[in-house]
Amino acid sequence: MDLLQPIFLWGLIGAGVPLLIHLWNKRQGVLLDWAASRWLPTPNNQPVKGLRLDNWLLLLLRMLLIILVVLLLSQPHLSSMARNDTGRTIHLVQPAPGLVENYKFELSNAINNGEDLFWLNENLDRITDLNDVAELTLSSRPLQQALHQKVTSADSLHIYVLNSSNSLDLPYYTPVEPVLHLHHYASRDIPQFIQTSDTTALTLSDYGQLVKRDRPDYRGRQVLWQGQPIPVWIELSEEDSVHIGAALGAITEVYSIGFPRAENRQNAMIFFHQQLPPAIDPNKLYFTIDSLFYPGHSNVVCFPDAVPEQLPEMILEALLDHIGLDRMEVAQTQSQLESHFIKVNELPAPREGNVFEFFWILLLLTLVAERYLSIRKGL
Amino acid sequence: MTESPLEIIRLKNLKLAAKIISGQLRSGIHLGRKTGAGSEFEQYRHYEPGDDPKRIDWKLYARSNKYQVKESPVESQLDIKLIFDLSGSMNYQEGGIRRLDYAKNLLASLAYLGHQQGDILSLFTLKNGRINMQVAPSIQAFHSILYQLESSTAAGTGPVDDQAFPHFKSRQQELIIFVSDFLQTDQEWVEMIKQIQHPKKEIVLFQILGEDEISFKRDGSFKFRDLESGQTRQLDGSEVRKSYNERLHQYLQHLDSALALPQVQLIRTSLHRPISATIHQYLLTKGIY
Repeated sequence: MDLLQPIFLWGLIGAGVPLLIHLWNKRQGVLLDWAASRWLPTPNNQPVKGLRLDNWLLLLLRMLLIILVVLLLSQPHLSSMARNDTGRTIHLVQPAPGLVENYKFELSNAINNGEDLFWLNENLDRITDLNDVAELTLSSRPLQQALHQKVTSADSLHIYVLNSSNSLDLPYYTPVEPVLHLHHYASRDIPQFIQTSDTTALTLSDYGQLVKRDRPDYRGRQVLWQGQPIPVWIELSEEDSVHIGAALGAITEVYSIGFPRAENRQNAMIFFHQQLPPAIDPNKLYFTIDSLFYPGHSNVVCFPDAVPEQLPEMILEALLDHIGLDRMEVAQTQSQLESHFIKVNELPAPREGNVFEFFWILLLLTLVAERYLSIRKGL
Repeated sequence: MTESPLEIIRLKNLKLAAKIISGQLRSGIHLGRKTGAGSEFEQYRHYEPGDDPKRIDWKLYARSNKYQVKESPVESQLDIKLIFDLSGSMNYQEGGIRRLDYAKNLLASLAYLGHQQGDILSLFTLKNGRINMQVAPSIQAFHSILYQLESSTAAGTGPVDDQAFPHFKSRQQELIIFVSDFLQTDQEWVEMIKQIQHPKKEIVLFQILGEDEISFKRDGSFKFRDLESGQTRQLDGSEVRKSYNERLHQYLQHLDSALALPQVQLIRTSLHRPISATIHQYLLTKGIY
C-alpha cells in the first residue's frame, strides 16, 4: 500500500493530541469545593501513577479516529487492488522498409507472441503484416502521440526508428524508458538544387549550409525549383508589411531569390496573413502572426512573437522545408538518442485511492464505538 | 410556571422570596390561635369550677338563667429561635445554588410565617464554634432578621464540644430551628442538641445536602478542596463512589438514630428541592397541613 498524498502524514502528529489531553486531565482533575471531606477516602500515596491510562479503550479509539482521518486524507492506494495492467510489451515501428527488413526477426517474433505492435503512422495502425510497410509513408509526428496513447508506465517499450534527425522530432516524453532499435538511415545520395537564375543555384554544402553555386552541373541532380521568382501575397498591417518586405528583401539580397508581389491571390505562392485564411491550398505556404491558433497543416507557419531580425531566417527555413530541401542528416549514437527520451512520471489523476470505502467504514465504526463508550462513561 | 422553584433563590431578595414561598404554603408554622379572656367576642362556654366568677356573663344569666363564660381569641405567642450555621461548609455549591443561599431563603420563609402569626422571633448564628445572638427576641424582629440574613457570610469551622448555651437553657415553651448541613465532626451536633433538649422545647433540624453529597455518581478525576480547611486531595470518581457513598450513608443513619429524641425532628432535604416543599415536609409531620 502506498500513499498518494504522503504530506498529510504529518497529521499523524495530531494523534498525540488525545493522549496529551488525557494525561493532562489525569493530572488536573476537576476542582470541587467539598464540604463532606471527612467521608472521602484517603488518596493513594501515588495519586499520579505515571502513565496509568484510564479509559484506555476510549483513548485508543480517539487516537485511531485521528489516524484514520489522516490516512483517508493521504489517499491510500493498494496496488494489489489496482487494475492489473502489467506485462504488456509494446513495439512502435516506423514504417520504413529498410528498418522493417533489418528487424524482421524481432518483429515477427513479437507478432507471434501476441505482443502489441503499432505502425508509427498517422492512425497508429496495429501491425498485422510486416509487408504493409510498402504502402505506408514515413512520418515523424505520431511517435509522441503513440507514447501518450498506447503506453503506460507498467509496460515495456520497444521503439524501432531510423537514426535520422529528420525523422525524429526530439525530445520525446515517455512514461517508461524505451529500448531503442535503430537503423542506419541511408541519406539521399542525390544533391538537391534550387535554381534561382539561369546561372546560379542554391544547394547544401558538405557541412549542411545553404550555399550559392555558379553554373552548376544539373546532370543526375534533383532540381527542386525552376528559377522563377516566388510571388508573395501580403495581408498585414502597415508596420508588419514593412518588416516582412525587409525580410524578403534580405533573402533576395543574399540568395538571389526574387519575391515579387502577386497581382491577385490565385497567383501567389507565399501568403502572409493576420489570421489564418479559411481555405488552405496544400501546395502553397502560409504565414500567420495570429497567436491563438495551432497549426494543423504542415504548410502553415505562425510566428506571433518573432522579432524582425529573425524573420528572414524563419521565412527561408519554412520555404526550404516547403520546397522539399532535406536538411543534412546528423546521425546520433544510441545513448544520445536515448537521452532524448525523457521519462516522465505518470500523472496521478487516473490513480485514485482505491481503499477509500474500507477506511470510511472503519472510520464510521470507530466513531460509533467512541461515541457509545464516551456517552456511557459520561466523558 | 416553567422555571424551577429554586429560581426564587436567585432573586436575591429575601423578603420577596419569603412571601412567595409562604404564599405557596398557605399555612402557619403551628396551630397558633387559642381562645381566652379578651375584649373581642369569640364564643360562650359553660362555667366550670375554677373559672374566675368575674368572667360570667351576667346579662346572659339574666336572660337564660345559665352561667356562661364569654371567650375571646387570644394570640398564642410562640418563642421561635432560628439558628443559622455559618461554618465554611455552607459555601458548598451545586447546580448554581449555594447551600448558604438556600438556608437564607428557608430561614426567611420560616421567619415570615412566624411573623405573620405574631410569634416572637430571634436569630442566632453559629460560627467558629460559637453561637452568637444576632437579633434579640421580639415580635418585630422579622425585618432585622432579614437584614442580618442578607449580610451574613459563611466561613470558619463548625461547632466545638463542651459549650454552654445560655440562650437555650430556659425551660419555656419554644421552637428552636437549626439550619445546617450537619456534616462536621462526629458527635458535636448530637451533643449540642442533647444539651438543649427539653420536653417543653420543640427542636427542628433542617439538614440541607447536595445531590452529590448524598450520593456521588460522577466519573473522572477530581480534586476535592475542603471548604473549611482548604486542603485538597486528588481522587478518582470511581474511588470516591466506592467508599464515600457507603461511609456517608452510615453517618446519616447514625445521625438519624442519635437524634431520634422526643421533640426533635430532623428534616433532610436536597439543594434541588423547592424550599416550599421542604417546609411542607416539616408541616406535614406536625399535622398542620
